[in-house]
Amino acid sequence: MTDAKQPVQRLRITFALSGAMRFASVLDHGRTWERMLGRAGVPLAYTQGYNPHPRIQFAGGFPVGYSSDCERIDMLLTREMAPEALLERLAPQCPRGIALIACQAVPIKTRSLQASLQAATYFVRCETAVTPERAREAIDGLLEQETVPAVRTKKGKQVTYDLRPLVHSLRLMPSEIGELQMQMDLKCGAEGSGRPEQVLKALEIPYRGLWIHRAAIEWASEKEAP
Amino acid sequence: MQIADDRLDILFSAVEKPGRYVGGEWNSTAKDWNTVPLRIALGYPDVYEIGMSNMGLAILYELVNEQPDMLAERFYTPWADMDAALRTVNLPLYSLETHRPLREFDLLGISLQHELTYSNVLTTLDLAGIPLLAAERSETDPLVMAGGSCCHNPEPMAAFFDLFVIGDGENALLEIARCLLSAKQTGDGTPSRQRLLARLAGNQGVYVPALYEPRYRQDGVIDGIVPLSASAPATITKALLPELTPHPRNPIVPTIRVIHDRGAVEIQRGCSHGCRFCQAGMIYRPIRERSHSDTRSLIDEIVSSTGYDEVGMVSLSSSDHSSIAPIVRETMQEHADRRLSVSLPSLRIDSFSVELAKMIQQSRKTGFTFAPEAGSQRLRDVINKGVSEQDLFETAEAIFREGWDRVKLYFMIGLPTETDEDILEIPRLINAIWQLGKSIRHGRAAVKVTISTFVPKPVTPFQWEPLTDRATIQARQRLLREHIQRTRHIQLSWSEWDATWLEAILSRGDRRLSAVILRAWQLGARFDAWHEHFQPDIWRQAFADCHVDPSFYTKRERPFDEILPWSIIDSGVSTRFLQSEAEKAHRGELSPDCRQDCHACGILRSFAEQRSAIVPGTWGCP
Repeated sequence: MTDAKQPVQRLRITFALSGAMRFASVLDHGRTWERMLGRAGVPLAYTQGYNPHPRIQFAGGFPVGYSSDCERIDMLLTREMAPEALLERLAPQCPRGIALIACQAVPIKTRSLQASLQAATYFVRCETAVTPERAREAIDGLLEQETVPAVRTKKGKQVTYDLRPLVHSLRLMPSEIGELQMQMDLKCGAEGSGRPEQVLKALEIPYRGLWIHRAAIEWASEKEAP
Repeated sequence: MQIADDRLDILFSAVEKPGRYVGGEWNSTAKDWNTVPLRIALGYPDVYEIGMSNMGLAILYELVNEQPDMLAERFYTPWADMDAALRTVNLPLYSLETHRPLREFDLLGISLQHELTYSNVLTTLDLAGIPLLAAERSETDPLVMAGGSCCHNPEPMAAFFDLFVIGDGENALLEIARCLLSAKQTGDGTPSRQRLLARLAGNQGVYVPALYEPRYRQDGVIDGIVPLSASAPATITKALLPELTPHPRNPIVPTIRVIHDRGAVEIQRGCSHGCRFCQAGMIYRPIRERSHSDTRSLIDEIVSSTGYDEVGMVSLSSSDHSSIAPIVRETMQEHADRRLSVSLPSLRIDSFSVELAKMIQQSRKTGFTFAPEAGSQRLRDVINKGVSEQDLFETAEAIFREGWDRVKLYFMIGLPTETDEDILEIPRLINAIWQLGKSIRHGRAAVKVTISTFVPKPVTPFQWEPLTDRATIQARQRLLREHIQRTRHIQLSWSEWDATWLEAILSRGDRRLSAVILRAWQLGARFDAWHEHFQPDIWRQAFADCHVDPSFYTKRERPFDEILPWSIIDSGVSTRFLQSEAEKAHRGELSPDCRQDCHACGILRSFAEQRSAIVPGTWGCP
């Protein structure tokens, strides 16, 4: 086999998700990016060992069906590349549904994307019979509560948790008839992440179609990195 | 009309694996519908992950999309959750590329590779809103066409298809498409479906079942298959591609994980070993090898167009390719920086294969695969599997010594002339290989054994044989279980009788089975190849409802002069050759590899003209 080459650079790409790629799991994204980077001939670093893997990392999972303007991926390279050059080389290799937004070089040893997650802003649109007036009341009601007990399924078990601290803000937006649109600022990270579906459930808003767009993620600033 | 994204999104959120239904994968081709005059939808009657692993469809998809005046899109059979979701909101099955209802296409092509997918064809057509029976389709419905290895006996599915393509699909499909295109473009409007089908019936490899009527004797045996029109040829000669074309070179890269999640290059079509149970070895004749340099450049193209980290060399017997070792070595050197791995399915049992496996570090985890097929030398001679026990043990020893912990063994039971003595040789081999592994690899050695039940197939020397009966098979499975050493390091898997039984009936069935298939589907037969869906009682009920006796198809040994349902299909291999191989089988005589010594199977006589037009030596025939 070839000599294991040491990584010399970490590049961080911000990208958007739409269309069919909204339904890819984190494993699907891993293979998709490996192949994109392979086609682009990017000098990726690999893990050691019998089954070497390219050293790429996402911030976390990709909830099924969410579109996004703010996903990130980190990659370690064995040869330095200018961020603009990487974008240029990679852009023609993106499948429909992945669009590159930005690329920056970050220190090789840095806080992982996953550990940098702080909060996310979602735009939520749902088909529902609930009126905007009724939704506004529900939102105000939820925000007034100290605690909002909620239940989610974790490894097949029902777990009760408090949704309230995960909700930073909720805002109803102008909507078509038969629909509701709202902006949700929710905490995300290792100590828990708010999910828009869970918020709708707590607001007692049943829906038929649901579209969730992750518009922005708040990351811990680089200065705070260890 | 394209189905609105919002409507589909609701379905995608409701199903377990939306990735099967979204489309848009890398290298998938969505041409402009309105400027391309001929539209073909190609599909596989099983779930996406299986259908996407089919090489034939990948070749045809790319070939069609290379034509400026045609487009090809894809479809697969929706799993039960999507089936229900589509029906609930009353949406028809659509193509993955542009989300258009299948019934808006001119032609649907469905690949038939396995008999237990037949009921899925009906599910698929029904979801598409296309009448199940070819006879009930109107001028506005697409033509529904089948291709693939099962078409060598098209009769059980005759009622559901307007036409079948027998043989290599590459040129055959393009010829059909050209016919449709010129029919569409002629001034006096679209010709009637019937006229079009009559015209297509003249193409090589095309079988239009409505143009024939089988007649039966009192005892149920076919008396004759009568052409009903002057345009129906007396026999249908399979379509033959004289030389492999460089396809697919830009294969679709699925986003979700599929069965064969890698690039694939077909290095050879056809096989010269002449195993008598093997349909593929008969119907894909002659051997057509892709040259060293063509293979290399195709691999390079696939790797750069897909970004795959693994390439499989596809053939019926990889070790037979005349340049396989240099191809593998050069490929691995060329793409070393990308960690490209190479896989070689179907290696022979010999030392050369061990060298190849070492080169590619093949399947250290899943294991090296051996297919001795039968336990005793006598029975291996009957089936013409030219492997000796010495080959097997020497290869197994080499594999263990080279550092493999696991081996996989494939056997069949229920072979013609088989006795309990033959059966008892299987556990002897398994136990000996396990002991050998243990002595070299110690506690790490593991043997995985698959013992399937032999199903006699059309166009093989065993096409006249009965299916071994249930009691015998189950007794032999018990016998095997008793004699195979009990240890967690030997893992066994078996064929289930009911699935074997149904496959055997559908493989060599006649046109009367169309009614049974329809009835079984109406009673709820779905995904019969899937253990969790298969309901054999439904099929038993369907046979009873249709007054068809399944044992007519399973239990009878057919005399050599019987008119078999597929007798109008000429696969190029002569019945006389199959019969002589059957007789040799019963005498336990071998027919060695036909690349050295031609056994006059009939291929060269059937396709002399095609051979004379290509570079000598392209075919493996002497």
